[in-house]
Amino acid sequence: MNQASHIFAKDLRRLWPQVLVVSGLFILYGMTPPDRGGAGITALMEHGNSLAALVAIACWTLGANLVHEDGMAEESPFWLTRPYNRAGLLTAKVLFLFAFVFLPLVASGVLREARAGVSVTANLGTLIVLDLGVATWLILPALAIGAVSRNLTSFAAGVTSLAFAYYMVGRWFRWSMRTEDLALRSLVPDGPNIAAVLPMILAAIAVTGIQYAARKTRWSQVALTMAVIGSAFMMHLNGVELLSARVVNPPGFDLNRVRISFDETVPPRVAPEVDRTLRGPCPAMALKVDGLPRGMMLRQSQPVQGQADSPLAGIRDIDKATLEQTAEGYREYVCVPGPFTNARETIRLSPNFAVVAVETVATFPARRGSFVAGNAGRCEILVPFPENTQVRCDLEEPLIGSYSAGLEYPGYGVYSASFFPSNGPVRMSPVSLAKFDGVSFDRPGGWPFEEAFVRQDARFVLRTERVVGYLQRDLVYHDFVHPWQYPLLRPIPPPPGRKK
Amino acid sequence: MALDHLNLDVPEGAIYALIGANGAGKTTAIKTMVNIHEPDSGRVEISGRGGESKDSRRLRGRDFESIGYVSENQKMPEWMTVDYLLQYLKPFYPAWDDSAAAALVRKFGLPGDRKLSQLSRGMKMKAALASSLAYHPRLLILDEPFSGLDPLVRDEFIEGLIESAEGTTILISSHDLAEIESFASHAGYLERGRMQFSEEMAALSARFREVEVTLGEPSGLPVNWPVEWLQPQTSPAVVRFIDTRFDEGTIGERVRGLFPRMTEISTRAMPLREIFVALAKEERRAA
Repeated sequence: MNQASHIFAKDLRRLWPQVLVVSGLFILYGMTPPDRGGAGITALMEHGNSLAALVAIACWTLGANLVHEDGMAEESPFWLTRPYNRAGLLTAKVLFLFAFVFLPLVASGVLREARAGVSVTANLGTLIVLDLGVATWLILPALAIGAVSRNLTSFAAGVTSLAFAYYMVGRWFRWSMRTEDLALRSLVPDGPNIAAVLPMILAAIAVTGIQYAARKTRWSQVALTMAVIGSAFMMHLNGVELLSARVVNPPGFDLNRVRISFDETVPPRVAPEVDRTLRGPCPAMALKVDGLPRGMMLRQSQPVQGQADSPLAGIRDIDKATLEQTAEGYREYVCVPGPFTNARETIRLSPNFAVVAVETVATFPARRGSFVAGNAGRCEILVPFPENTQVRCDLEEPLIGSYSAGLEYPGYGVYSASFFPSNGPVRMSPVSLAKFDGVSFDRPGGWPFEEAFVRQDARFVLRTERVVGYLQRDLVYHDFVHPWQYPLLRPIPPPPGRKK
Repeated sequence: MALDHLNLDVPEGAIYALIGANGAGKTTAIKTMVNIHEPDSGRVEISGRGGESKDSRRLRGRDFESIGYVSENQKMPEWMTVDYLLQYLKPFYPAWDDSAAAALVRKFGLPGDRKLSQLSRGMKMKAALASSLAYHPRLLILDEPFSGLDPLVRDEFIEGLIESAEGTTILISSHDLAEIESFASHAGYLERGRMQFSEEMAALSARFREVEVTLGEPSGLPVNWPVEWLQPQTSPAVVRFIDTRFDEGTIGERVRGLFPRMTEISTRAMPLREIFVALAKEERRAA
């Protein structure tokens, strides 16, 4: 008898409803068009993707229940006094998660790629490699925390406790290093930091192994907590290193010379579609930026902190603001919370900016087709769905910094936001899908590609971006007025020779 | 310390009753035997498949092919039906006996299509016992199996156990001493983690007696009262006590040595329950 397959069949008999839910969510995800910039399948783990969050929760719940079926942390589990082969037991669990989490994940990626018009066969290897990374986060925590918890409630408590431990390390760093004085509020960079998450991954593997081999629950819980704290420290230390190595003394110029302020001579304006997307009035407020050397631009890191202060409405916190660079300059979409009164109010905002060295790699016409992207590789403009456009590029690797795409024509320019604030090499997926649509989620100004496609002078610009430093500025807008008083954003200039 | 210098030797083929008050360490001792708990020191030797002994700390997987464990505290896979529980366990045991399993299900009146979660406590214990007897284990360990069972279910449980576990060494911890007494061959008394005695039931019954002494004239207890005579009670002309080392040939002489004006002596055999209560009371008094 193969004990692992016997236990596998038992678990399937028990957990098939959950398997159906997870598979259904993966199918749903596969049917969803790529909606964010960056590598398509890795968008599963992107922040703010509610379906991805559902998938993750469903996978974790399935994984935890699977482990609890033959629990490791219970004092007297049923299996312990039966002739279970522990290696077979662990094998059964791993096989189960492979079959019902990893394979559906790959299948959803294949489905997504096929629907996006990307060659599945050409990219299957990359997809599997990328999905191994994603599956690590969908499977390992469930296995490890499941192995040191008794039921779903204690599993949730374990997850919460570990998240809290991680959070407290960040708080301690901020408190002890007085980061208010430094440029970067969030010390953890957005980009991948394998070295920092390695302790967590190794600890999760070790704890799972130890629990299945020897059931040392207390030790395992301690080890897991220490690994999370260690990872949190390493991540924050990495941020501190960024600060000390590159932020305080970035090569080439003095960050203190960069002056940023609200330009109150330009009235705030609204884009109705932007307000709808961001769920509230988020007027575009012009920024005045001086001292930024040629070839460099600003990017903004989250989170943003700020306050709106009105004599009638009182002080409200602002936690969402998005920076955009256009041909007209920078503007900040500041989401001001209500209530709104007729009184003028003061807006204070403290964004964290990354100073990015920009280099244009290639330009190509903004229309359907395949184009050589300079020496970087090849790009293809696809319109797989009526409502969006994608730029897919096969690019050279490894990359120092990151790639971004921009749409430009005379009088207009807007650039994709995806970038990694790290100067280390970053491997890009050959399946890099970037969506541009009229109300792109992460570009408040939208991507007017419909306009662009009918013009002859519009072009896509492929650029590399490399972070050279960070800075934080306190911005004050003194006479802020009510949202309904904003004029609309200036319409996009029509192509030459076209009637208004 | 839950267990302290505990020495317990269960002879092969015996039905060994482990008795003791709540918190005496019975469940801890049993969990240590089946490697649910690891002892700080010492070892438990468990008879293996080939008859060889094995340190309980090294008990793993295949060792349980010949060991059965039924406990009121063990979490069962409640979602399984009785039939599926047996069907699921069958491949784990090379000695699994389908006909024995079917006979146990019939004997216990177990509803095969019902989930364990839908069964009464008694039925659940019967299902656990059936799943542990169907492979004819060499050693069967039962931890408080009668706890919470009504008398009828208890009887059925014991009857099934005795019929189906012939040749199996059984270690059973229980408070239900009246039931245990009817079929146990050995008994061990655990007190605060220490084994106070461990012997055959016949020898145990033989050495415990309630003794009643009638005196010619009222008398108090002598100062040199023997430690093995427990719970002395006096009324004007009668003294009662429990002799823990009863010897029919010497009892009269020993009593007369303390009570020279003794007129009559009578002794009564004690059931296990009374022995246990007497010992427990003595333990409490000493504490």
